Amino acid sequence: MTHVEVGDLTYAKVPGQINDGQLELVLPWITGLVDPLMPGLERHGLIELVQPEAQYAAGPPRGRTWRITPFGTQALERLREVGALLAADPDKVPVPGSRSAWTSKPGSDRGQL
Amino acid sequence: MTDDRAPDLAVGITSGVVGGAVSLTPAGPLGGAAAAAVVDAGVRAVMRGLSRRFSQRSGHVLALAAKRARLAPQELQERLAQIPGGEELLIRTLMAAASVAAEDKLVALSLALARTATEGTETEVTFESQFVAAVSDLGQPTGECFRASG
Repeated sequence: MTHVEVGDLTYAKVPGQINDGQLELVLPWITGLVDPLMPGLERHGLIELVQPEAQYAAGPPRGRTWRITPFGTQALERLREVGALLAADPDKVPVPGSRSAWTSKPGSDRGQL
Repeated sequence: MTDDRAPDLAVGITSGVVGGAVSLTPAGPLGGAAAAAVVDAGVRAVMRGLSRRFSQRSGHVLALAAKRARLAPQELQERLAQIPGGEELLIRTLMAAASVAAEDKLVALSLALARTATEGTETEVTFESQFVAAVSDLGQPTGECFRASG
């Protein structure tokens, strides 16, 4: 990441979009795992690739960028609803041994893995 | 999978392991038939436990869905059966629930059934079928990538 400088917009996040570098910044534990993880989301129509990886003669390699699809937006909304339901009354879901997988904040339950 | 079938599967698994060309059982006092019996008993116990958990999770999702839709479980099933694709969604969702451990996934699956039963449209079935497939297939790291994308 030596190309990142003060004021550099390389990691400026476009709403609804994310690139390789941003993913690894916000989720450092997936470093090196973007390749197997993101195609799963693409396969289910949750995200789509908008910018393939590119290497220009000058400058650093430009990573891939994905954006969330309309179906993905609806699915995210549903997951927020699930999170709200669980937060409102977690006792209503007495499944021993289970844990949050999708609706928790990134990194909030890393200690359980 | 039911409790009745689990022991048969266990026997099949352990017979293959113990009777195969390469035995995984330790040599010594626990070798041979005694080892096979110990392995069989252990595998049977694990499979029975897992089978119960599978069934509990499916039942839990069905109960949550019925509660959310304000229907009795049987009414929920009948309502879904009347919608094109609804019964298949019910089956796929309950099968998915059997293999899911995370509580938020179980709640998400139950919401899919409840919504379909109350909305009752083919459009809803199509959305929920895709949603159920995604939720059941993708693990925690993928879910975190997804949320980070939004």
